[in-house]
Amino acid sequence: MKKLAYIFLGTSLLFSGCKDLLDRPELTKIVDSEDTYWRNENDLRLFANDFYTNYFVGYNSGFGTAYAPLTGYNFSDDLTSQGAQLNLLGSVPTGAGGTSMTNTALRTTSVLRAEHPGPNWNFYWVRKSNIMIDRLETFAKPKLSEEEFNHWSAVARFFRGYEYSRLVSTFGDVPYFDKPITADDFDQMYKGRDDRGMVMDKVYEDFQFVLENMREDDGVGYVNRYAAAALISNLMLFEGSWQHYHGLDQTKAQKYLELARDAAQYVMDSGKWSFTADFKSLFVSDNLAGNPEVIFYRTYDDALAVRHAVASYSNGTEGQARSANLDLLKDFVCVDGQVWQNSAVTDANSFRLQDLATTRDPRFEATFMDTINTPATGTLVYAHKFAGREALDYIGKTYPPKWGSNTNISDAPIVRLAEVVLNWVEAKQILAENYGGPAVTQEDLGKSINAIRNRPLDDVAVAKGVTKTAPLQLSALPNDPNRDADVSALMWEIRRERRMEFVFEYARINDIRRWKKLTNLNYNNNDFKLGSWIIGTVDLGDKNNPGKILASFVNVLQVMKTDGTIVTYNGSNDAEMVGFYVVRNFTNRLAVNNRNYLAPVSISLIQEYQDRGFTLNQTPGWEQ
Amino acid sequence: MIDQSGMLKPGNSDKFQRYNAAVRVSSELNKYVTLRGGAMFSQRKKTYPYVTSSTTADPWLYLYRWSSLYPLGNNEDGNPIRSPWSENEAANDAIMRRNYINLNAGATVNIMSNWKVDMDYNFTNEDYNWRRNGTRFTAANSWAAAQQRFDENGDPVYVNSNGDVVGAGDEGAILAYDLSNDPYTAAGGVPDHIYLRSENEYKSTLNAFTTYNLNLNSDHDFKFIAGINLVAGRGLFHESQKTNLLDIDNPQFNLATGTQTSGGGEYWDSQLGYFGRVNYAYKNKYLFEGNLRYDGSSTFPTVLKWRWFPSLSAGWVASEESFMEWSKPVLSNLKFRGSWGYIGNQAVASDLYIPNMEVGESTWIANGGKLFGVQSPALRVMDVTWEDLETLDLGVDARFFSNKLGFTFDWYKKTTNNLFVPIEGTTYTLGGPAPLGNYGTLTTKGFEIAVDFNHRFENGLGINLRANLDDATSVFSDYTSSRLTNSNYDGKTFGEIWGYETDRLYQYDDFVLDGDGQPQLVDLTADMTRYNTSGGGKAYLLNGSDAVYQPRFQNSANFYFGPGDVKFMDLNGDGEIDNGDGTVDNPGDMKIIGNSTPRYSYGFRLGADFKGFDFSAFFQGVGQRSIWGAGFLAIPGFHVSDGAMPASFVDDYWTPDNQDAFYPAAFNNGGTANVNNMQIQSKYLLDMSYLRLKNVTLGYTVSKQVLDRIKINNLRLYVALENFFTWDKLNGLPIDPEEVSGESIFNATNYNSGRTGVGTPTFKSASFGIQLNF
Repeated sequence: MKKLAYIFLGTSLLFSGCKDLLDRPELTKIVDSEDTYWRNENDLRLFANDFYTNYFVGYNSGFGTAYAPLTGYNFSDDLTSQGAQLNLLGSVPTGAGGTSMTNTALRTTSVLRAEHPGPNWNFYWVRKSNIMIDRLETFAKPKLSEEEFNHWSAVARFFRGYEYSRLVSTFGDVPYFDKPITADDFDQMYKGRDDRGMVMDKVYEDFQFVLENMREDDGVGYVNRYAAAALISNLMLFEGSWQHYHGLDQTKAQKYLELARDAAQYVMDSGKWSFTADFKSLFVSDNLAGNPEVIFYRTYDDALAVRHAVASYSNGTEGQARSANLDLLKDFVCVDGQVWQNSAVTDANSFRLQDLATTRDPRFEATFMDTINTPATGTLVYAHKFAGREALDYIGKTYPPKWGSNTNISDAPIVRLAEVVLNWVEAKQILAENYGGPAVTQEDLGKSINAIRNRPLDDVAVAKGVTKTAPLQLSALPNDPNRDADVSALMWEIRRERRMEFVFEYARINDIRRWKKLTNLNYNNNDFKLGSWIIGTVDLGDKNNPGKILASFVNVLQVMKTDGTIVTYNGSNDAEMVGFYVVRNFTNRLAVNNRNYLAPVSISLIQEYQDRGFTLNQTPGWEQ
Repeated sequence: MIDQSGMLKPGNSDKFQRYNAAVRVSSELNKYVTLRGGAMFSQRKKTYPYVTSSTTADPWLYLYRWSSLYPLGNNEDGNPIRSPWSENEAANDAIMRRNYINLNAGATVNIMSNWKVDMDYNFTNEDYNWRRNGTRFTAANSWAAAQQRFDENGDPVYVNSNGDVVGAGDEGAILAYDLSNDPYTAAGGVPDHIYLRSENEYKSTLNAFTTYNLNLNSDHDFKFIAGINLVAGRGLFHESQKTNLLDIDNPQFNLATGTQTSGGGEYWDSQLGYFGRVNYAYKNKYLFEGNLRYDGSSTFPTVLKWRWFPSLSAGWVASEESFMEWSKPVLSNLKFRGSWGYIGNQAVASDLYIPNMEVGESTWIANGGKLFGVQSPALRVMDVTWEDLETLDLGVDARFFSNKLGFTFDWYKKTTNNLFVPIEGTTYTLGGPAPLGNYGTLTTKGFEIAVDFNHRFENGLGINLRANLDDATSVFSDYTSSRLTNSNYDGKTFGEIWGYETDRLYQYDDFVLDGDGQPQLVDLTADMTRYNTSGGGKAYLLNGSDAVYQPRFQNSANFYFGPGDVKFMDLNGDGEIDNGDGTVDNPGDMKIIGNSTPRYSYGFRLGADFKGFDFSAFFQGVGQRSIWGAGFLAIPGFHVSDGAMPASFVDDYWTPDNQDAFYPAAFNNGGTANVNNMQIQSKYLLDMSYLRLKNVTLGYTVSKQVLDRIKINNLRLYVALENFFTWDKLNGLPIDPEEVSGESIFNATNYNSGRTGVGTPTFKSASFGIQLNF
């Protein structure tokens, strides 16, 4: 009995020294501290990898659409839908911004709205880059070479600059943070908005650092100075031209535009990229590795199950709710370099898709199908830009995974030379017109617009009769009767070149915002309500009933004659159904307001600041 | 052993099986030492057809979602038509299997007649594996365009409305189309894979305590206990998947040729506690107990690991008092009880105070492989410690008529201090979710009542009744300064639902009608409303200059409140329907319209037996519970693309011919919740109160005399009905009143995307049985 008592005593003594027993830290996560992380370049690289898919979205993945061309970027004055046109935001949202405060939601790549395609009021990525900058300084610096330190600082500052550029493009003034905040530092957290110019000056500093310190080559698939410079030229052109056209700080406008120009120039001068691949190959290639025009791209790979759905929505069968209107079709230059009204090209005034394919700039044929296709429910003009030519053979059949569902594997260009040269020439031209910069010369056009126009053509296009567009001549600029009075003839052509180049990509909606032309979305002329020129019995004919239009179009199909009269198909007037396709049930959107350039913050967010004794100003124009 | 078939008929593999075995031995070595030991084994096995790995849109969802017009079954060529049915039928099985082993050993040592030591050690090991055998589906694919049928000459084939082939010119001839019988799941896509998850969790528990009894002057009974308990657990899991099955009838890792993915993890925790207890009873009339615990947990930072938790209780058996002697014939027992105490809760993640970072695989590809990325460190509050649960309980037990009638009542108040909740008041600029810390208080007050009665009549009829009722509400306090209705503001009742009060449906005579008797769409002006006037908003013109417009809720571009649409009450009379500041103090026209917490839960059991027959019925119910539903079964007009619609909506929505309808005029809300007519509101809030006959059993036990002859110990025959009758107030909607939207064994919070009523329905079962003992 005594023995047992001793055993009992022994056990309880054993467990009273239980420091170790209760020491059971989390096993599957890394601790953010000097001893456990931030030890070497690899740690920094792993931390930075997390940024990539948020900034280099390419074609997104799976059925994801945010920031993806066509499925995400499908809202601009290029495009018209059936029925009511999508309204711009009409009232201040009540909710706090639509994302719950969970980690996943904060990290999600999402776009706030069609008309200001940027992030929501979300500072996850700002914190992430600030943490990286802070840890580089405080923990990693002694363990890295100067070159390593500078490169990774440049990477962190690039993503911070990128994020603030996006936030500013959505909201205008935003609070600027250059350090991570702790969870109880309410004064910092609730600080008011900083002036847009102040924020973008910080971004400017970050970008300058990037252009001086980022590695020129950090291995395939990792961001480098050229890719960064190309993207910086996009972001700085946006901000510089915004400051300029919105009448903000003209000194800053000049400063940003000069950086846009210089960053672009840096890429162009490297001579690493050229316009020696055809336009279609940029968007439909399984592998963009060797493409001479592509500066940075996202790889998709079937074996790794990283796939997308952008090509599917360009395959001839999947629907396109918004599709190219006649206003866009008319803006494509003819192959002689002239606008259609003044062109000498045969059939230049025909708006049959079949004719446009050969009379217009080759990008038209590479972007659109050359026949009417009803899944483009808006105007029946179907954008085929992101699927290979063979995809159209599967209409009515089962598609191979490559061109169907969310199993597409074409690589996505993240940034390509055409953007760089168009940024460059536009920045130069704004500087020349307003800030005493040197005038754009014929030689400059040769490096930019005319270099693009001299892209090779693929064999199928050549066989169809597609030809290159004549170079743009300073001495003989097209005389476009539709040119806006406040835009010079050369600038008009620079803008036109962008419009032709970037259909269904990120550029157009942001272009009309920064040029202060969002009012283009008011659709106040007929071209926005029309598609191409159709011949009903040919384009929408009933195969089993030659000479007749499909019965489903009775009382549905309308065409507009050149004199403006509208004819509705009544089941017997088949022969009369020749004219511009009239968008079904078109109703215009509410008129664009000045305030639609920037997004409001939600009522409850403003309330949240008030509740705690702070103030968050509403975006101008949205105050109630 | 239990073997239960599930609800899913197609595939014939929806089953649940359970096996239990236990052994227990105890041996008294001598008058001082008793040793004991035991083992238990249990296996639970759930099998179901593995159609998809998705838990946000599984076959149950589609069964409810698709219209009844949708063809199920085989087409005329004998090929199944693509549907949840065909997929279940073609699917291989998924099997979840849990093996549970428990080993225990213990000893009691009687040191003296009134002093003993108990020690018990428990080891449990739980093995869990989940195998999912995927497949690829082939069916007449109704999701792709039908293919036109041609004859051998390449000419189109015509059929009549019966599907018979006819000539092109015949009456009623239409072109023939066929669904193409294709393999429609992409190679390597879901569910073309084999998946296995294995998990092992083991836990050691040690309880050791010593008890000392002391009796003074025969009236004073003392009991002293001191002890220790220790729990230490650890778990490991890994999972792997390989795609592209070579043989869909035999899914094997070795016979799959596609992408391999794997994952895994490990977790551990431990708690240690010391406790002491003193019991004192005076003549079994006055009872006291005092407890003191000192607990430590691995979950918290070193300096905050340990805490003291005291508790006290007292009881008074009034029926033992001499002055209660008079009541003896009626009152058998009467006891008053009271207790108060603190216990600690440490059931949270063990890294709440550690700023750690997760590693995740990215979909960015470099150097031929997917990159891994390290995410931002978690935001943390460093001083995380125990959650304190303070309980105050007052109760009375009474029994009457020689214990035939019993009554128990408890009133309690549970206060949870230092709740584990996110730090209050962070905003988006922080750049991450608010970290958990100990903030705020949740106070729960409630009562429990139970009554039981049993009696046997002289003729042998025995009856017994049991009934219970309980209720509780919980209120937040000391957490936030925010007054927003969606925050946990001071005084918020847990589960409350804020919404608008529905007035009625608009009728034609609410509007200024035009010559054709139709309402007229006009531009909103500042006189009518302060909302949507500058952007060119419109509304149907209402009668009366002080009419209240509802432009705030015209959330869809082409939605305008007209006849048959919902008219809300302007509760604050400001001429607008809105939520004011969204705060408790100025909620506009919102108010608390219900609560999602079950209130007034009750149950009663009736039993009787007579001459070998036995009967029992068990009812269960909830007196009050509301939810605002989600999805197409709960919200009329949720999304027309969802196909199926409850008959309750279809039969009673507003049309010019059915103006006193319950549901508003038809409109497609496009899958968006809480828009247009369907703002959260009183009229369409789901009343989830119910009464359900959970079980009714009738049995007959064959009499001993008969059985003895055939050497059978016991033979009982019975018939039982489960869940056969339910009385609810759901207006005929196919929603189970017990369900919690989004909760299931597959996905605890977002099952089938949180839609209401789209999970496995409650079983109704009838069973007949024989119980036989030799």
